[in-house]
Amino acid sequence: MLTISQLRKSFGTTEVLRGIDLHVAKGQTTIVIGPSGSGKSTLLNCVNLLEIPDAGRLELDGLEMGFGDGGKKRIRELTRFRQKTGMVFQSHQLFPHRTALENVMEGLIVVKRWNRSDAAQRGKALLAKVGLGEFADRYPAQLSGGQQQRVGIARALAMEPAILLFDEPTSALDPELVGEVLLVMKELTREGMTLIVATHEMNFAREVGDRVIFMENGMISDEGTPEYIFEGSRNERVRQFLSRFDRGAAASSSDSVLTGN
Amino acid sequence: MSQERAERLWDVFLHSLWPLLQGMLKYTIPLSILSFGLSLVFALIIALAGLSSKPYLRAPARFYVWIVRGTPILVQLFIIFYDLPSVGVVLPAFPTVVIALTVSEAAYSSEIMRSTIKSLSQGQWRAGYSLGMTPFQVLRRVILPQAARISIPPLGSQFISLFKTSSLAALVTLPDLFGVAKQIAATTFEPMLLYIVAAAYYLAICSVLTIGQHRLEKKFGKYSL
Repeated sequence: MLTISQLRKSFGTTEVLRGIDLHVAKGQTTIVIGPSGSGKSTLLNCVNLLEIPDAGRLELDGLEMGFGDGGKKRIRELTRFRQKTGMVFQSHQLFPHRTALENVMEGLIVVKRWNRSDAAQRGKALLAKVGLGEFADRYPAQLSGGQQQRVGIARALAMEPAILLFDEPTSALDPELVGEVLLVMKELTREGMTLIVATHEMNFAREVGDRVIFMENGMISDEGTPEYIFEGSRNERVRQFLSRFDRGAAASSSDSVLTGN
Repeated sequence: MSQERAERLWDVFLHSLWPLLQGMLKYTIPLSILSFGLSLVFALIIALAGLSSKPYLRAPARFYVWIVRGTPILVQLFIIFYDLPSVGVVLPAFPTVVIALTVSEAAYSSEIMRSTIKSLSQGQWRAGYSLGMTPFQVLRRVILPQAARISIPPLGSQFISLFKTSSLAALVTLPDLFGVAKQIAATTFEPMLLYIVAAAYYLAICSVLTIGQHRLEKKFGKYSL
């Protein structure tokens, strides 16, 4: 389904991705964890070409693309590849001047050239699927963070991508809104959608991940099943990272005890 | 003030109302609307060129803004009207004023557009791209509608300013609102009265424009709480 080979990306003199190899099978959920600055976001951005890799190859659903051969990518090539990937951003990035429904319809109308009524029908169905059937006519500013993120998922789904990429979809949310977004994502994995999720939600990772990869300094330094990564990783850095996490979680729950939340 | 003088003032006042209104309807308003409309088109082109990553587009745009903003519009107007004929370009007064106002206004408006487009987050471009849109589609469907809304207040005040600046037309012989006032003032020797009437007309129209601007802001602002 998706094969990433020797992918490299630098910003200025900083090498952010230093040769990533990854294969994602259809219907699989791949979780990407790692410290901030490890290259998780850049990896996702490279997969849907929001950043153009400096070197390496991408192969997605029969479409292949090589980088670093000197030639500049044509816009047609980029848009064709991007249509096969859907992206859900950390800060939703809904179009604020369009309603929830119009946000979902936008790609269908502009890119796929559907007529309005077909697009509206599909848009409504997708909003219903993420539990927002009632909110079709609301503007993003009139929705909660969790609702905005679910509209973002519906917008990405509308294009029927081969793979959905989530860039820390719950990191910007209030804790009580995280659950509703994760629920929608779980539903997608059950339906056999192929996902790559960069996240700090370790419980979610454990529960729905088929595979977990640990990134550090622009490389995949460990990978395996959730059981392996969370319980049995032999990689010292992974254990350190996860223990910091547990302590962080413990600290924040003791905080809430102290503040009475 | 003697009664005789008061009656004369009243008489001049009554007889100036219609000619001044005509000057406004025939020249001031058409000049302003035409120049502003044209300047918006040019301003958008200049703004997009100024935002381009390609130096051969960016440099001319920046140069244009630099020259036009750095020279008084009255000087530009006089160059077009009095100096161009010496190199064989003779333009009537009306197009001269339209050109001068458009050239000047385009520079200022392009800076407003450039800054509003720039102020929109990079994330909006990425959101459009992630759906498979081309740069032009993102610009047209995502960026410009939002930029337009943000630029309504500053562009509105640009239009109000342009409306008043159009009074420079009188200096190249056009009988616009101010031009007519000047003429009548010269023949009746009542400049104070005539200029106050002209000022009142300008104020009235600018008040209407201000209200219109607020309406537009409300209409386009409906999606933000």
